[in-house]
Amino acid sequence: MQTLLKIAGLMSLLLGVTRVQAQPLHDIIDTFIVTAQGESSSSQSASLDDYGFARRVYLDLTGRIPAVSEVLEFVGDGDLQKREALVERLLASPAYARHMQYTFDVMFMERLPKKHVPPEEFQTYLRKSFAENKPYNRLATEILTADGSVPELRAASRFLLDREIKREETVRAIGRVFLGRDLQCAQCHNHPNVDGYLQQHYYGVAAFLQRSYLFTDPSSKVVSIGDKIEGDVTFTSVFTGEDGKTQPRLLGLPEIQDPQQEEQPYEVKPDSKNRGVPKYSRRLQLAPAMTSSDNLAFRQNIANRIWAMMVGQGFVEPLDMFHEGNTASHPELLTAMADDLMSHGYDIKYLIKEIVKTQTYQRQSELKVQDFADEKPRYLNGTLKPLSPEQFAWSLLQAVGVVEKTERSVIAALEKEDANFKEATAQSAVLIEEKVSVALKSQIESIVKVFAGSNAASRFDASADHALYLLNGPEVAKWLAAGQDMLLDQLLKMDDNQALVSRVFLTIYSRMPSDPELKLAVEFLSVGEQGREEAVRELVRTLLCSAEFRFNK
Amino acid sequence: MTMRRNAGCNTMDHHVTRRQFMGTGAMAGAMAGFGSLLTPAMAGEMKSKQKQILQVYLQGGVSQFEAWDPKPGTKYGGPFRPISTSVPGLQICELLPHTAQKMHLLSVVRSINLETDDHTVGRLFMEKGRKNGDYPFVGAVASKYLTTPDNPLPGYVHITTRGIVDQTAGFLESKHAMMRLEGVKPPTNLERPQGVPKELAIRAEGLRKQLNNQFGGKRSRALIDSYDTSFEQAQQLMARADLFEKQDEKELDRYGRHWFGRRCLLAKTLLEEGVTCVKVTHHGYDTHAENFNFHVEQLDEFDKTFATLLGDIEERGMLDNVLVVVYSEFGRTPKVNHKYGRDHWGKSFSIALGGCGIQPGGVIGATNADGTEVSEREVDGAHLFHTYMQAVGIDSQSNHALDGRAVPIGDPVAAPIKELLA
Amino acid sequence: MRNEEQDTIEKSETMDSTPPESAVPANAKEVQKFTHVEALTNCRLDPSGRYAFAGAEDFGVYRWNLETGEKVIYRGVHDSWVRRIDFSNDGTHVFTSGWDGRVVVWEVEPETVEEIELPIEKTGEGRSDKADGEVTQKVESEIELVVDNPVRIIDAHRGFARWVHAGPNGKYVATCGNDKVIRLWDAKRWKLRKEFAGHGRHPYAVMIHPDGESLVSEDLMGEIFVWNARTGQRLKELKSGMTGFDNKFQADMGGARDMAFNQDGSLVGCAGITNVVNSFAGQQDPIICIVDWESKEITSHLRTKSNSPGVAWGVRFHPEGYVVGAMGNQNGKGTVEFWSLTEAAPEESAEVKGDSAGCDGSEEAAVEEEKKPREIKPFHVVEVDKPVRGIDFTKDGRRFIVACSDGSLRVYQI
Repeated sequence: MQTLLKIAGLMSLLLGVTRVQAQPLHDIIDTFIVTAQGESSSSQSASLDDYGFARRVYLDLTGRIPAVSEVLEFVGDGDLQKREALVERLLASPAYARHMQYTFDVMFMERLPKKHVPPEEFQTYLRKSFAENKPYNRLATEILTADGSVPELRAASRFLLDREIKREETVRAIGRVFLGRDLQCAQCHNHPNVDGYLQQHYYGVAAFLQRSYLFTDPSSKVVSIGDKIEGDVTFTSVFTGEDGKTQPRLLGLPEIQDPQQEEQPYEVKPDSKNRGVPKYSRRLQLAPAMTSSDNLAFRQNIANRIWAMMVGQGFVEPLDMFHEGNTASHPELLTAMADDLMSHGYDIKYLIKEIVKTQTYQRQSELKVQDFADEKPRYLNGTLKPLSPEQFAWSLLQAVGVVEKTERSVIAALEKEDANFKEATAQSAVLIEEKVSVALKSQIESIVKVFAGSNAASRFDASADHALYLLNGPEVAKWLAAGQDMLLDQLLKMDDNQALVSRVFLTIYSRMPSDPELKLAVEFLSVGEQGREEAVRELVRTLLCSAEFRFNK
Repeated sequence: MTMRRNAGCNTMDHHVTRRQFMGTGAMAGAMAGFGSLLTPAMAGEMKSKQKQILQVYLQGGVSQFEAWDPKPGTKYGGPFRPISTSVPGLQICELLPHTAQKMHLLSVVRSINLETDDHTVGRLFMEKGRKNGDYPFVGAVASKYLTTPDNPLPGYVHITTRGIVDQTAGFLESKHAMMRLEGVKPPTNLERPQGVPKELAIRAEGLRKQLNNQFGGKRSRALIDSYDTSFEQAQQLMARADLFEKQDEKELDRYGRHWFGRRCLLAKTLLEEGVTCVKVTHHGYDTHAENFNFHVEQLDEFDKTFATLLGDIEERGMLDNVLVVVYSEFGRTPKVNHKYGRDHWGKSFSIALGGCGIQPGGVIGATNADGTEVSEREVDGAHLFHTYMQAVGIDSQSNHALDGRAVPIGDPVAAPIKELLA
Repeated sequence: MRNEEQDTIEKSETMDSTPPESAVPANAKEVQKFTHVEALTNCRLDPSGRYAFAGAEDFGVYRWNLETGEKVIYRGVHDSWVRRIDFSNDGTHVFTSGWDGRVVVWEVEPETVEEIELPIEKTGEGRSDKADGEVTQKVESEIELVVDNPVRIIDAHRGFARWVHAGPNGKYVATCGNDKVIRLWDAKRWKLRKEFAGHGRHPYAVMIHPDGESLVSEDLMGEIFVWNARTGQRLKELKSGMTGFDNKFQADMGGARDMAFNQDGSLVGCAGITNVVNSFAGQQDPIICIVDWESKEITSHLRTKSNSPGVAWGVRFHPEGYVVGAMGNQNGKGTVEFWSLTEAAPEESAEVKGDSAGCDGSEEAAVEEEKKPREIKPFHVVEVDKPVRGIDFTKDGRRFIVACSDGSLRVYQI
């Protein structure tokens, strides 16, 4: 409540409104972005039409383009609240949880291979967490606390365990993922260019883990994290040669002092058979310190990341370079959003819903006025968002008909097993989604491998390899082969070229073609000496290779 | 000093008109060539008129003490000795014996001060010639102004294995952005699938471009352009799959069978084929620990390979048209730290360069006796950028031609290093 | 020469009148400290125990008389760093091997020592001058004692001469260098007797076994070779894992930073690194591998107490049976650590951070449980405020010296 009042107070200041009222977050966002910046309406883009909205939210919330039937159903629906209703439906669907699983798995684990915890277990843990809309501070706490010793909680320990709590990787990951700060360079010296990243920040985080170690159970061979009572962090600056020392601390917040050590400092003394469990563990201070309301960086970071996920650009970019020299484009809004998220118990679905409701989110990416790229985003137009490797993989499989075909066969198998199986329940939906994902897992992984490239950076990297995969790759050729009861066969049944082209556009672009496009595509099919099948195939392939399919517009 | 022959090519001849490249929504697609219409013979003729650049990037910051600017017997000089080179009076570190024999083809600049010790800031400054802002890299600028219009290969290729994704084209068309080749392995999927007649493929490519132009018409172009470029590059690679055939065994023996050797061999091939700017990265110079042992390893790999590559370029008569630059993002500290390392040092470091437009055998600038600062002719990334451009015949003091905006090619606060230019 | 009656050595405390019967590491304390302006790279005690020799990050070799504190500079011959020193069996000569590829033979007690007068520019070299009175003069001249006339200069290797070791019975001296060969020299006339080629990368250290029959050497890739000194045949090839390839920077790091035999030659200790994470930043684990001479297998991995990233720069076998190692850590500190090979070290042996299969990357080691080297943690650690780059003991094991990166040579008593 306090936060809302604060926000409202801020709004009053800006709008000159004397009456304090709690405004919904989505209004606050729109007002900040437009009014607060003194922007004129002439430079704002128009809102998305229904086709555009459908495609965008399906991609943003479920990680794939909508099926043709889904598009047509939405467009044809007369309900004025249909956009909100669609968002509710999508957020409740199992595909949302899967999409968030992908997004956060890459954020937390940077596509690291398995070390001690199978990646699938961590992914399942994430998926379940998002399916139940676990508050984000609780998710963060679990991930920073799990030590791998309790089987039911082991999955969450992958973040620390599969980095083997090696200082360099672990401190960097914690800083980037939870604080939005890449502290790596601050290992040897205060960052030469970033005034805000001090050695003390790096070692302050390191100090939480200094006394932790990897313990291998001698009989089960299971590796987990244990803690001891000694171990201090000292460092010497490369530049000044000065020595520093620090207790655990996060950024500029106060050091967390160890309590007076007791005579029996251990619950379980570390030895060859037991992992050490001290009565006071520095490591266990990390999660509460991180998620504390004192730690502004934590909530600003997650707010910024969710915002960037939805609108394509964070207030702070890159997402892990928060510092004084890289100010947020809309600092008050970021803080307001962060505080509001916290006051709503870190409810991610709430934040997503609020963002979708904004005019800002619903703007087209077509510009009214051709403008040179500004240094800081203004959010007056939708941002072209490259599909993530996982979004692209699912959308590709959706477009060519693999997903639907797989769904049909999964449902048929389930109905065969159980005569009472009802496809349309929420429970069935989860089951179907799981089975379809399992069936498509290796195909998804192989597409992701091509498009994720050699680095885990999420920045768009269009390489000739991707183009060659789509143009010449045997996988795409297979999906577009005839006789598979998928898209191509559907199209080949259609004699009317105009209807065929419309179908292709709906399938791949989730919209109807314009008249010039219709003409262009029909001409493409009719001209030339190739067979009809070849022409249709190349039409489909060409749209799959086009920019409109590659981006979330 | 021998008079350098004026190659006689006029800068403006190589400027391609703006309209051809800045087609916004128009049928610019029809202009861009795809697929090879050039026979290798034609390619050979064409390439002799074109200026090119070879960049050898020693990533991490090679130590100037252990390379181009030794300070023997001084407090910070370290354990290595200098050796004489093929340029009388010029000495470089003993770790570069083969390169030393080729120094008559190169000049050294010893007085670079970038005023930064940061990898990214330093690297970008050395590439863009600007300390801040989104400007095109050397390779992108070269690609734009030097590439002849019917050159079927990408204008700027970077052979590397690290995944540093730089935005290299700045405000230039993304076709001038660097195409990254991972080492020397050929890209997969180079062959068109069966059942796609050539004529159909050509029309499909045309359709793709039209759709993209329509889609990109009122949208911000950078992402769409770069996606377009990736398809154009794919076509170029498909047309020249032969470039990735197995490397000749004898050549591999000469260049060295390690990664750097293989990459330089591919670089030579790409230069011969007319790629405008070829950049090869050699990794592993950021030696905060064990600076001396690591430089022994890394420069041992670099030295023989680079000398071979430079020698081959000269022997084939290409050196008059190819600018060769060996550089890092900064140098290393005079003081040796407790790990036997040297740390970042952007205050006073060196590069070596030669070939097209460069007066060889020269030493520009100097550092003081113990190598702790520049003592004469201080320059930075901007001066170097100007110099590279002038050397290959691009007037760095003129403007890029963009829609309505005039952006100087080189930073106006600096000028070319005239003493270096032939 | 300085007046030997002057007691000019800095002592941190007076010595006990009745020293304990055996050396007790737990009692280790620094008793002397000499300083040099440049970082030291290694140190040795001559066989008599009277002198400490050290190489530095300049081209000199420095000899301190432990009793008088007198410092003698050996210079004018090496034009690169001296990284390893050894002595003739009879203790009359000192061999310095340098990164200039040279091995130089000097006298431990040279007949001619030049006195060079220098005007004083800065404060004295770390010794508190306890001379009485005489503070009236403003400008004192400092006298440098210099030896620049060696007995012999040998161009031993192309590139660095990384190691020199005098074998038993005054017969042979072994060296190795960046030309990847090991050379065996006649100890008196320094004629090249034999050359051993086979290391694929730079060998960092080579020692002649006390029995004079074999050599052991280790290279950058952690490959340990045992050679028949007579025939040159390689008797054994061990992959010690004391190496690593840094993927980010695409370079190798490794090799023995020190090597030592125990008194009867039944064990060899190799000090170095393993588990390379980021070797360019100095992030890797220090380790000492103990090789059992009879089986020619690595039987123990000696790990530091804190497993702080760094390098093991020194290893010595104490006459009382334990192993001593010297560490230089990434964080700018150092340690001297003591391991027992006989007692099972307490619970600590299980707490090895990281892959407890040890540094051996080969899959075989992981499978053969019985053959896995024991992971041992030290029973005592002496913290040093600077990275330690070398260590040596007196024959009786009661005192040791360490060379530090701040240019200090420190003497400890245990």
